Amino acid sequence: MKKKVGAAVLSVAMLSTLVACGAKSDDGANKANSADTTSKGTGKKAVITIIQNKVEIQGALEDAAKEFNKTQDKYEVQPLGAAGDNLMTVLQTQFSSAPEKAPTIFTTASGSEFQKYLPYMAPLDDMKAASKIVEGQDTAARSDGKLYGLPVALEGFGLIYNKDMFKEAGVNADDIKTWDDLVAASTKLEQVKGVKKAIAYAQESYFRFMHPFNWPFALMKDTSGTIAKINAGELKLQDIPELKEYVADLDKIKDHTNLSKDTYDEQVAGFAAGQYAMIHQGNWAQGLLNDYDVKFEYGFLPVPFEGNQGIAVGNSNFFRVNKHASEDQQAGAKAFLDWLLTDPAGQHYVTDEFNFIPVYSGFDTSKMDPLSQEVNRYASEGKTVKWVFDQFPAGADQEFANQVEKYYAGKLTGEGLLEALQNVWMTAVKK
Amino acid sequence: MKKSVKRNLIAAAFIVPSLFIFINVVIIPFVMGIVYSFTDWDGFQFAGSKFVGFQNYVQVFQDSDFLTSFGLTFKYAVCMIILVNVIGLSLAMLVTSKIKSRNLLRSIYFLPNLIGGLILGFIWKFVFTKFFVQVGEVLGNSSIFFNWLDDPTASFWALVFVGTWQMAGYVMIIYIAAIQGVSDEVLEAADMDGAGGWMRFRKIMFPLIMPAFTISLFLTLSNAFKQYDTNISLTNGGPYGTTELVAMNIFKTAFSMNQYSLAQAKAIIFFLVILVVTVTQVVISKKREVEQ
Repeated sequence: MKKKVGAAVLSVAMLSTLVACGAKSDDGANKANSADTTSKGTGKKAVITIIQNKVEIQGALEDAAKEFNKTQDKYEVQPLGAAGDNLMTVLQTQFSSAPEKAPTIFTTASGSEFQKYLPYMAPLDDMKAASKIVEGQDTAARSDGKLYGLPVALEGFGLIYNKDMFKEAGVNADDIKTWDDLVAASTKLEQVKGVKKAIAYAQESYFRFMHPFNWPFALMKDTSGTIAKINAGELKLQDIPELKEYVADLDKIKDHTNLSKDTYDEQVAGFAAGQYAMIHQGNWAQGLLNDYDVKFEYGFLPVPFEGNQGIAVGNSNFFRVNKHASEDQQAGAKAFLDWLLTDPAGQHYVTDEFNFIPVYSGFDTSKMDPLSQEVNRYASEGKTVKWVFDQFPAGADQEFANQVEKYYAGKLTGEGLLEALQNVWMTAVKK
Repeated sequence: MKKSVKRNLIAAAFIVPSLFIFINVVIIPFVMGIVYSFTDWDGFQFAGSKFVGFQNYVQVFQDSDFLTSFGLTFKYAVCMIILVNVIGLSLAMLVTSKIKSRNLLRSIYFLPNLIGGLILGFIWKFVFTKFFVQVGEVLGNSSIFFNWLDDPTASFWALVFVGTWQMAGYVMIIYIAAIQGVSDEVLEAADMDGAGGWMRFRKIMFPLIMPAFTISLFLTLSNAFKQYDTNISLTNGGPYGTTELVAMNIFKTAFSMNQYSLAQAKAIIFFLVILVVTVTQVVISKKREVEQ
């Protein structure tokens, strides 16, 4: 019996190596084949795959790809399913198994994700779109002077407020200059019928921690220097005056918030239904607000931390081209991105269908949606705050958000929160 | 001689395909996993990784979050084993008794098991966060009807509750089969000798359905340890990371903290623990089985 089992195992093992070898040689043949045909200009087109994390633009992106495929016959662009928050997991598995078969175009954030996938990115300096990037918005995608990504869109976040409700409560949005003004306004707004809380935060880790804590870090004098000191263990979060002040401010506003209990959907739905006067969100909420068919007027309000009068505007998402894809595929990927970002036919999709605020010159921005126009207005007036949360330690956003949840649940004081955040920060840095 | 060759060929035809799949999707990745756990592999190409000995394993035991999740998983497994089997057996007794709607009840109790754990989690999440709050408001009683997923202790019991609701029907089926296999003669003989209901269950029924216990205990034990889908969809580790079971901790270590070799080391330790626990359980309950 034992012998038999042994023989079976052996034969299977041999079989599996056979299959593996077979697959490999087959693959090589295929590749040679496709290279052959494309060089002759007949037969198969080079297939360019795209994967990205914005679920809300997936349908429109498929339409854009279809239109691009009609304009030329060299390349075939195929958007893969939107990966949403799982994008990093998907990319990880794809690139670790076979980089040459991974998506041709993919998106990652700047900062730690950029560093992680840098070995797989092709330089994009020679592209038409590269020369049209708005001043200063490409620095986060540069390494050794070369450009490795094209910014996807300009985005802004702050407090989205219900203009009609502010009128009803007798609050003038322009008068909110300090944090105390915000607290006073919140008290007034909560007198309005139907309002549960003045301000709502969403519970996802980015909305609960990363975006709200962008304010103190971005508004301090030397953000990168401070973060470098924290990373080196020379400075603790609980000793930074801006953070102390921010947490003290949170203490004041806490009772006027939903304690960040809602999901993103519920938060925006509550705003649309008039339960919240303000939500801490970005212009990406436009799609949802359109779905809820909001009747009142709304706009952006700065978070008045230390008298701040700007909203946080930046871009952290970049299109990347896979270095390990075939040359045809890379050329096709660049052609598609250039078409999308510089050709009027492609630009139409970016502004009108994706609802993106373009980061490139030469776009027609007259027909943008209300929130995008607000972001544009703040940006053109120079009232912007930088996005710095990509400098927070990588992969710890959920841990940070857990501590903030504890704070809202009353298990941590403001000071305790800073200490807890410090611990998470240091463990994340050590790893 | 010829006959036996033919028989062997037939046997091989049945064994080889499944063995082929088993080796490729279980054995090979498993061996690779053991290798990875001794290196500083970063999740991309294995070439270039260094051998680091037991460093990852040492780090596992310094990770307090992992140890907490392990403790929680043990607690979860104990609660699940007791509740699932007690409820499953009671249901089995109920539907093998002479009540009228027994066939209908069998399907009803088994139904939750047909829903995937992920979807089940989302359904119950709605019940715990929305329905409970509404009921609480209507009744003015918020000591039971509050948002269970907001409180660490209540969230844990929510996990146990949903897990039990899903698994109990499944072990019920196993117990039904065992109970129906007990011959009427033995039970009748016990009646003749004057054994009461409890005595009959304790001394006759219980030892005779012991094989079913072996299977059910094993199933609930290993399922409870490996729980992931309900965990992620119902609580997602919350509130503030207090309901993170081991499987989820390992997944997070790999995919959000990007520490693949550490996660692999955790997974190996996890495997060893499950192995020891389940083998012990099977050996103990096997000993108690009797021939009818």
